Amino acid sequence: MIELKDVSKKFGTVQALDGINLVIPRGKIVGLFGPNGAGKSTSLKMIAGLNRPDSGEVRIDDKLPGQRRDIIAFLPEIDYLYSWWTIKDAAAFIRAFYPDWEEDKYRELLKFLNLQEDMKISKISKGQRAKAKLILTISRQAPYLLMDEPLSGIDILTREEIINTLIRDYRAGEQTIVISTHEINDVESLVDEVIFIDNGQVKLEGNADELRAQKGLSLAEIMKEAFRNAQ
Amino acid sequence: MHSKWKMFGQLYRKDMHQVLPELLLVIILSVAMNLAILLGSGIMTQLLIGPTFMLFGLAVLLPLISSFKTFRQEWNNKTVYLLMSLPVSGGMIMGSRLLALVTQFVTGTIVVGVGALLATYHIIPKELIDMSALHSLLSNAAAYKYLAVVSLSGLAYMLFLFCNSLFSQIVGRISRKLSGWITLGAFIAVIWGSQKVLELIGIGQFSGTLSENNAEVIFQNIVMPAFTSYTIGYLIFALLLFVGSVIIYDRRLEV
Amino acid sequence: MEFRNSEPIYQQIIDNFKKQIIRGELCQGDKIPSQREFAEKIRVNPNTVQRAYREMENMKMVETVRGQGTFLIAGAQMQAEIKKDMAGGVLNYFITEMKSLGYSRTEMLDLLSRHLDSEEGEK
Repeated sequence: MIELKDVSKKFGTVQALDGINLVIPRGKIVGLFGPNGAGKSTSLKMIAGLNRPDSGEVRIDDKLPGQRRDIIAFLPEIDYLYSWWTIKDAAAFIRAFYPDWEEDKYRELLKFLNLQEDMKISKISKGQRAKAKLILTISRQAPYLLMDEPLSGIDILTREEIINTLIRDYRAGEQTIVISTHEINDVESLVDEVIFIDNGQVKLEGNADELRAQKGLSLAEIMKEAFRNAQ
Repeated sequence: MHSKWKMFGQLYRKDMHQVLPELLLVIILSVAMNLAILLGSGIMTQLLIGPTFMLFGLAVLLPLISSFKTFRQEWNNKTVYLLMSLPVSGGMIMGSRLLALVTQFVTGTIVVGVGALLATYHIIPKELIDMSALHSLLSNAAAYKYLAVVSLSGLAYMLFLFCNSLFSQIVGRISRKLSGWITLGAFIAVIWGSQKVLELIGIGQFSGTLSENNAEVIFQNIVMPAFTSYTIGYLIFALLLFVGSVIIYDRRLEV
Repeated sequence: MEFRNSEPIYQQIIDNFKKQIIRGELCQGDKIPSQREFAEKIRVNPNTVQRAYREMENMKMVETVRGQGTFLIAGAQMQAEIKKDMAGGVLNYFITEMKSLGYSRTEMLDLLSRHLDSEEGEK
């Protein structure tokens, strides 16, 4: 379980997180939704240990993020691989650091997503880069997978491939996936728990199907309603 | 521990790739110049002797420049996201960077130095060389000892500069603005500060009179101990800066 | 299988199986896809599919045999019940909507008759 307890974080004059209380339960696919600047990226980076709260606590299975890096797979929105690497170089690098790397899965995913090992990161298209990043992240059997806007700027066909891969690969009940996105439509049938955040606080959270039953609205519509009310 | 070596190996490979352009530049220039000296003839070749030794300066300067360039690149290209999420301490990440810089420095200086010496020896008219003096120099064990101490001293100082570069840049990154100025300030402050500390401790100072004319005795009793103390002093500073960098990286650095 | 995102997805999965049963596309003893296969096929979160399957097992509609798969165990009686239930749902919706349009009971029955007649006539 991942917890953010009363976490605040300020960047200069911007209050990115404002006493936020967030719980990510184990074994679910959680959608982290909200407009740009809501605090989604900041939360994910904090869980991955890339920044620290000004106040409050972050715990992953009761330990600090810095001590849990081995069970977290973080997929940032930006291009974070060395551009002179080939996919093979990147895989060799990741493989050396994480004992949970699965070579068979890696080879299989390459085939499934139609990529070749000798492709150079700087020479492939944005969609192919997104797929490569995905492969490097999910070829590990990491208990926690954090994805920051994995679909933004990606063409529709690639988006579908990515979602199919996630579904195909997901170990129900064992693996926890957190997807932050502002394109809720893409992931309506993918997430089972949702957390809506804005201005660094949680506005609404719950089980996706239960919220649908309650309100008779899609997740995208629920978010519009939640934020309209907030204003 | 087998896997820690693999991790370090991957980091080192990555870091070496980043310093390779500058290292190759030095090596290629040196080889080209020395070949020109060896194969050429006339005034041109003798004119090249000076520059081929000056390349030494480049071999010393470029690694220091690399130390700033590569660190900055990690931040600008966002590869620091990858590094900071790895399940290893900053010690390994910066240790491999340090090793790559040292490799660049040592390789560059050896290639340039040996190349220049060989080329020069080859084309200097043999009548100008006092062969017997040269022979006694080359077979004098003490000469090698002095060479070793001077080289190690140079290496220690370079190591100190590399660690200073690392430390200043990390300190600079703590703040979001003015990182460049903070880095520059820290770098200069450390150089100045370390020098002051060494003076205070009295390293490199010697009492007594310089009455001896014998170069060997001067060397043995004054220059050698000075070099040795400087070496140890700067190695200690390098270690302190490295440890400081690791602590800041592990506890305070953010992306 | 297309989803309406404004209704619980696990419920839609169950309804989809129910329709297949009623239409006779699925018979007692037939094997339905494994949860994993099904999740991949319809591109839905495996947890959601798991919930649907669990509900269907609780309703005694299906049964999972370890190592062999999930099978339909709904017999003729349950199928009739399901059919009636689903028809009931449709009728409730019909009645509510017609009422909101202002139709009385007799008007509703009359209109329904006439529509059915014309449909038969077209055949």
